[in-house]
Amino acid sequence: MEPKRLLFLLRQPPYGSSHALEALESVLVAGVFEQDVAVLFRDDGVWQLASDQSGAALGTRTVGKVVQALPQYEIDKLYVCAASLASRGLTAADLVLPVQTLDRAAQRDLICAQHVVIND
Amino acid sequence: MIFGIAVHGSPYGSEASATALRFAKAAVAAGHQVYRVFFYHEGVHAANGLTVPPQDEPATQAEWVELARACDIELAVCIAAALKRGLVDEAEQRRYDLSGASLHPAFSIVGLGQLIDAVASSDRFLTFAG
Repeated sequence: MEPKRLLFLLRQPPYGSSHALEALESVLVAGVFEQDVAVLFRDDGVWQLASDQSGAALGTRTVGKVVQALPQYEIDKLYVCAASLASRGLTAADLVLPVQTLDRAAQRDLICAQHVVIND
Repeated sequence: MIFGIAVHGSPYGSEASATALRFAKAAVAAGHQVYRVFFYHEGVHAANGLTVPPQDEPATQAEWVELARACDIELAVCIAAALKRGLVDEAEQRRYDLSGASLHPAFSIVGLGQLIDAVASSDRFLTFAG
């Protein structure tokens, strides 16, 4: 079966619920099942990318470390919403790994190019 | 057309499950097929067989079960998301020596790979988030 272009739209913050970790699990499994996976971090989901984070105080995994490991699973089409970063005072230099910053028009084009979008 | 569906929102904390149910019914009524409904995140609570919905609220679970049986639709629950939320079938009950099983028998516990299989096997895949 041909791999599908599958975009995960991650919009939830890294802590406060297990939502982000569960969503990242599904991203990893999509990679293992050899789909053509892309990830777009938007809204509070951009906090998952922040390098200055630790789950230790909450007794949970550090979500940024999981995000950082995505390229090891050949998930390297990683994108972030420029406006979501800017409105939270974050820049590309604050992130755990290099991701492509997209304006709204580029996000629209990215979404339109997919077979399937899984939003969280 | 073959549809795949993911439900991420909890049955009483969001409209996700009820909206997904209405979509699935409409799809089937229009002659389409639903390949699998995959419950993930808080959506797994839809599979709790130990719930008692009030008479004046929609019995969404009973409607899922009826639709699934009538149209041969698989109702699948992610194992990792289910176990930590107390949704276990009899096999998991025995495996972890728990006091009871809570999963409604119309739902099956599966791995996350079945989410990706549903994506790959459907013409269209829809997510109903919380």
